[in-house]
Amino acid sequence: MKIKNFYDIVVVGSGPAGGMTAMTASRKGASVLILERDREVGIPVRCAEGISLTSLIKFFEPDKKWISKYIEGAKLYAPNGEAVLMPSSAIGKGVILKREIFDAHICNIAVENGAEIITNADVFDLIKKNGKICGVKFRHFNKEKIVRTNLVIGADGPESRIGRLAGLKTFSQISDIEPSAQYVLTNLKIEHKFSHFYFGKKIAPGGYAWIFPKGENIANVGIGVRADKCNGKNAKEFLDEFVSRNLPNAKMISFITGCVPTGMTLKKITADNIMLVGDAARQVNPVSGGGLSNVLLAGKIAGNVAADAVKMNDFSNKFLKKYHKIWMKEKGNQQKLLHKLKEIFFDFSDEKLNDLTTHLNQIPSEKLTQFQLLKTAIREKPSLVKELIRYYL
Amino acid sequence: MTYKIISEKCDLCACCVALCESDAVRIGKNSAYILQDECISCKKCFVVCPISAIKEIIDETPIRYFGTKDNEN
Repeated sequence: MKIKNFYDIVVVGSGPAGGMTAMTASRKGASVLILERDREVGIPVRCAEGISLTSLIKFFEPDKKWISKYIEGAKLYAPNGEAVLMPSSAIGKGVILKREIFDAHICNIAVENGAEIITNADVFDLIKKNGKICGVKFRHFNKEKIVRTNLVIGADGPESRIGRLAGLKTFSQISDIEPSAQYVLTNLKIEHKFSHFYFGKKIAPGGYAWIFPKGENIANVGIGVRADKCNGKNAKEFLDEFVSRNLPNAKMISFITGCVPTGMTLKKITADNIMLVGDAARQVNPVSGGGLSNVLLAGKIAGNVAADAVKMNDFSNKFLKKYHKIWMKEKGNQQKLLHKLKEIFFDFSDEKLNDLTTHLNQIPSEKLTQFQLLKTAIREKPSLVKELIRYYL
Repeated sequence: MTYKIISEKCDLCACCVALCESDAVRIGKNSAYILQDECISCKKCFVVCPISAIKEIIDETPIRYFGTKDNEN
C-alpha cells in the first residue's frame, strides 16, 4: 500500500486519543497519517471499557454497534462486603463499550475526512534535521520506512516511546502506575444493571476490583493495584483470589494485563514539532483510573491545535503549548486535585471504608450524589477540606 | 542484581516501560526486553509487573581472594 512522503501530521497510535486527534485534525483539513503498531485498530483491548454516558455524548452519538451495555448505576463495596448503590438518577448512566469497534469507528471517521492509517507499523525513531524533528522511521513487515512531517503526535500509550525519543521526561513514579489484570468472564450470576467496584487493602491494595457487565452473564472482571503496596503479590494473583471468592462458577473467555497511569499530566507534553496525548501524556483520572472521557477531550484539543499549527505553519513549542494550557484549564487542574484525593482515599483503613459505607447507606439512594460521597469522606478525613480549598482558590 | 524479562510470559502491558527512569526497558515485537547496559537495577520493573514476568538474577560470579597463605613467599 503506497503512502505519501510527507504528511502535515503523523499520529503514532490509533487508540481513542490518537484516533480523536487524527479525526479532529483531518476534519479541519490537515493531511494526517496514523501509524499503528498492532495489526488491527482497537486490538488488543487493554481497558475496562466503561465511560459515563454524559461524557460519551459530548463526542459521539451512541451507536449499538459499539455499545455492549448501558449501566444504571454503580455499586461500591466496602471491605466487609457492605455495598452502597449510587443510582443513575444520582450519578448518571454509564456505558460499557466494545472498544475494538469503537476505536475503529473513530479512525474510520478520520479516514472519511482524508486521514490514512497503516497498521503493522512500529515506529522506532524520529528523524531530526539540525536538531528539529521532521519525520519518523518505522518498520512495516520487517522493512524500514520513513515518512516526513512537521508534527509528530505521540499517542502510543503509557510506553510513551515517542516522548522519550523527543527528549521529554515521560516515566512515572511507582505510586502513579496501577498494574492491572482483567478477565472477560461468562457464566456469571451478577446484577448486570450496575457496575461494581470493590475496595479494601486485602482485595486491591491502593486500587480496586471491578465487574463491568457486558451482557446478562458476561463481564469485564479486573483489578488495579499499587504494586508497592502489594507485599510481593502481583495484580493477577489478587484478581484470581477475587474471582474465586466472588465468582466461583465463572468461565474465562480471555485474559489481559494493562498499565493505568494514575499520576498527573506530565510537566511537558509539547516540544517543537511534537505533542503527546492520552496515556502517553498521563491524562487519566487518578482516582478511577478511567481514561476514556479524558483522552477523548485531550484528543479533540490536540487535534484542533495541531490543525491550527498546520494553517499557521508554526510548529514551535510556543504555539503548540496552547494545547497544554487548554487541557490544564479543562481537566488538568482538576486532575491535580483528584491525584491528591487518590492519595488520601486509598490510604483509608478498611475500618474507615466500612464506616464510610455504613454512613452512606443511611442516605436515601436517590439523594446519593458524588457531593454526598465527598461530604462523607470529609467527615472521615477533615484535611480533605484543605485540598479542596487549595483547588478552588 | 540484574533483571530479565521472561518473554514467554510477557503480555506487553508496558508497566515496566512506563516506570523505567533510565529508558532501559523497551517493547519488542513479542515481548518487552531490558537493555542491561542502561539498567540501573532499581527493581521497579520487577515489582510492578502484573504477572511477575520479570526475574531477578543474583550475580553469582565467585570472588577471588589473592594473597592467601599458600601464595605467600
